[in-house]
Amino acid sequence: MRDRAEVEEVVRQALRAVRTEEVDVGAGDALGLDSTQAMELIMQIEERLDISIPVDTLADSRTFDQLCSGIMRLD
Amino acid sequence: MREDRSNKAKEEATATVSGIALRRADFSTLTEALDYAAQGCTGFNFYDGRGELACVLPYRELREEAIRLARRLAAFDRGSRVALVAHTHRDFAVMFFACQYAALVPVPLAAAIHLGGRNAYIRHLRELVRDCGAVAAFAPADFVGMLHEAAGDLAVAHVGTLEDFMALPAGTELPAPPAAHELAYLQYTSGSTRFPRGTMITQAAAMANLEGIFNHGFEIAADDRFCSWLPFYHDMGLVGIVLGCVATQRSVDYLATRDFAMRPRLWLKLIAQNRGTISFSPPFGYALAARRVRPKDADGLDLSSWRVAGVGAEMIHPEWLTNFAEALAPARFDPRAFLPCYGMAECALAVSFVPVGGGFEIDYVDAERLARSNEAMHASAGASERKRSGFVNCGKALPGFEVEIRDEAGRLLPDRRCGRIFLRGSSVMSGYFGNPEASREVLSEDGWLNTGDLGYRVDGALYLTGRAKDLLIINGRNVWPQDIEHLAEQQPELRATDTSAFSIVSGEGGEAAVLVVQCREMDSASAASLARRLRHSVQAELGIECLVDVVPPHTLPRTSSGKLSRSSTRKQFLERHGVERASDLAWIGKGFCAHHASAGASPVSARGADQEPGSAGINAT
Repeated sequence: MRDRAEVEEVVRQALRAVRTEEVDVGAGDALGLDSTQAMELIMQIEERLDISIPVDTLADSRTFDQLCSGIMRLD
Repeated sequence: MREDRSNKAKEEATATVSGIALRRADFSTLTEALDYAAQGCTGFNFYDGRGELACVLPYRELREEAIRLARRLAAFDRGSRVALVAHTHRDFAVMFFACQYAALVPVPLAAAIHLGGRNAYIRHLRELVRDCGAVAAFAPADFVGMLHEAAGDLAVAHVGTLEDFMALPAGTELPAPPAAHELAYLQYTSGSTRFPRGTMITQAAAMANLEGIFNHGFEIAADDRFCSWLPFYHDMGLVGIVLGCVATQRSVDYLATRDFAMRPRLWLKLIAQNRGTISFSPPFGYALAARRVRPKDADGLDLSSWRVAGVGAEMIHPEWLTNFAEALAPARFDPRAFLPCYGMAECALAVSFVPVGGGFEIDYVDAERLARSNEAMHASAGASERKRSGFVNCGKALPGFEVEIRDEAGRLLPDRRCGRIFLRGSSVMSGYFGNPEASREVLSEDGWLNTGDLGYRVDGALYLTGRAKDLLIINGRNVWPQDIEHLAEQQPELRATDTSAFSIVSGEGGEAAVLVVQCREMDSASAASLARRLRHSVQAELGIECLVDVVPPHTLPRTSSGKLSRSSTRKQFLERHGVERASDLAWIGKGFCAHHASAGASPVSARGADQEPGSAGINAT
């Protein structure tokens, strides 16, 4: 079982690396990335956590919270 | 591809040399092309997100499996449409060719989902499945759940994965193979659901274009090998690569678009490792790769085998190609391999190519004269950068095409006069499926296609300068402003006449989408909230970043007939903010402006305001 706090920290770091604008994304806020940025975000998360995030998880991840929960549900 | 890795990992990629005599797309139909390619040992190779070979599909197996499946599809009426979610996957190729052998018309649909975009994607699938009147619909396992939801309330007889279709009862006989005059496929020109336009391409049209490309565009050789990450639902990926390689018996190394977007270095690694000779990309792909490849990556690669680096599908910004060539110089990438081309789905794929081995060539013209009188005359030697515009040579049209440049009144224009590009020839589409009105708008009775593109000619070579149609091209993808405006109208504050979308030049030379909305006076917090909702909605539905400008009522300009004018809104927008490109906007970091800014913030009319966004290159599809 992955640690939720760790997942959140990894996603937050990845977001900081990808976003061009300085905006604090709250848990329920939309991630607000275009498709190129989104792919870079996913790549960063996959490499940091050594996982593979399927299409289904992406399709359901509008917000920071949803993305973290989606990652938690992966094996 | 991940699901294939465990059991197929030990396979070897197909050879580069086919073992049969090279035929350069001289077939009358796609089934004939595959029948021939299946006699050799070449085929498709699919690589996973780590760059490992996940699945091999030799043309021999592709043909056998497609025919087996075609017996199960033969019960559908000849010429019926079959929707195919076109993920980069072996099963798509099998389904596409099964449709050919069963004399059905495959319709590739986008397999692109944006973050949090489940509902938008399902709506998108439903609209297109409905528009083409599909009798059956296929998706690979990752997408089939969403396809089921999309097709739920439509009259689609069968929805499923390849395994589901294989489980259908097999007929004993295959129908007669498609004839040259029958449709080879329908291709949607963009992801638009407000504005679906499925180009109808016959077998004869597809084969005529492929024959032209591989004999006259660039002559294919028996030791050529392709590498591609282009989406299978895009004409360059589908027609140029999937069909083109079958028609020339070439092996291809495929990387899924998503894996390329995450790790562009894999594209280059596959070319180097397999000694690839031909690979195409929109300019944006070269820019992305140049940005993400580190110097030590380039050192370890050998790209000297890459002889055709095709560039098309959007405006070509010379500096993007130069950056790529510089970043990959240590990997022995030869900039003379760049091969600009021009084309669109309405002509199957390609219209023109520059000669192989010459790289890209820029024509610098007097910007003022171009804006004033549509004349593309050489800029004087000492002209400053602001006074000249550079356009990339897109080469001469393939032999099957007639080209005309016409002015607004329909009169023919001579060399170096800028106007609308019209085309006629054997690979022009038969029309847009189920949409005679849209077809009549672009296709005349005597077969001339109005491309909607602007450009000029010099000794037969085409130079693209912009677009007469209201299309946006963002990172190689076509986006219609109507779709952005429709999303905006979903917000309670806005009505249909309150929105206008267009593109402006982004900082890097590409296009940036802009949405201007007018609404009644509100405080800046409400305006900011509206702007944020609009940005998120466009992001989730269309996967693009959109700049939003909230303005007071009655700001949007109208034409004399009362219609909103996107080009005037665009001009007004640039003047209001006193900029020529998106990167100069004071609020670019935030992505929206909700100040209800009054007009005339900067009375200086920027010269660039009159220019079309892509005034430096290609707008091919």
